[in-house]
Amino acid sequence: MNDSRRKLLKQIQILSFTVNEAVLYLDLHPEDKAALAYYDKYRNLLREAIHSYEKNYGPITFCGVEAGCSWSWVMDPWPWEYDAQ
Amino acid sequence: MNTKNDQYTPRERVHPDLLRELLEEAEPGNLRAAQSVSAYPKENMSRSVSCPRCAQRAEKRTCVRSTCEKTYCSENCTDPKNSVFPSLAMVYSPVQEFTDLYDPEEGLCRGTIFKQLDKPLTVGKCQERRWNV
Repeated sequence: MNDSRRKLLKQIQILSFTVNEAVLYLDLHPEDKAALAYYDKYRNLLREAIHSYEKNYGPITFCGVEAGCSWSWVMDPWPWEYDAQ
Repeated sequence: MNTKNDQYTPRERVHPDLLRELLEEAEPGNLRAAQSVSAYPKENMSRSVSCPRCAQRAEKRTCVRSTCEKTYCSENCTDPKNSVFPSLAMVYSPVQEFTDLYDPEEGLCRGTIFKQLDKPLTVGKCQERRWNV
């Protein structure tokens, strides 16, 4: 896996953790304006990061698969194969 | 959050069956219970009986519970509400505020984005542990 791909994946990991934290907080404080804005900001960043990753490197979840002439979900190296590449 | 339970004391919120079980466990003679209740004074078997609740000299006034043979010093001390039996815990936590956040990268590292919730265990073996994400 090349560096920029790894970086992008890491970014997605960070952003989705952040969004998750905001979600947990919002579950208990559904009216909190600051938390809502925070959630919105990081959800958008997460979306962009996932979009950018999937456009360049293929789907992250099977919902990210663009059904073309082949099923790209099974084409990528599996996670445990990355380092061998 | 207002629930109808709020008008009850912690003791009253406990299911009567559970409460009975706890009270029975704390009967004198039950070694395990006696050990777990450190505030429980040793039974004084001599002629001068002392109140197990306040350690004052007790009159012949026995516990309101028929199965209990303890002798207490006053009406007040026989009140089950003043019981020395293990008190059931009541927890209070202040409402969390959306403040003091780590930036996302550090948040992932720490396992929370909320500085106020970042309470690593720093005793014993946990001290040796280093998080490298």
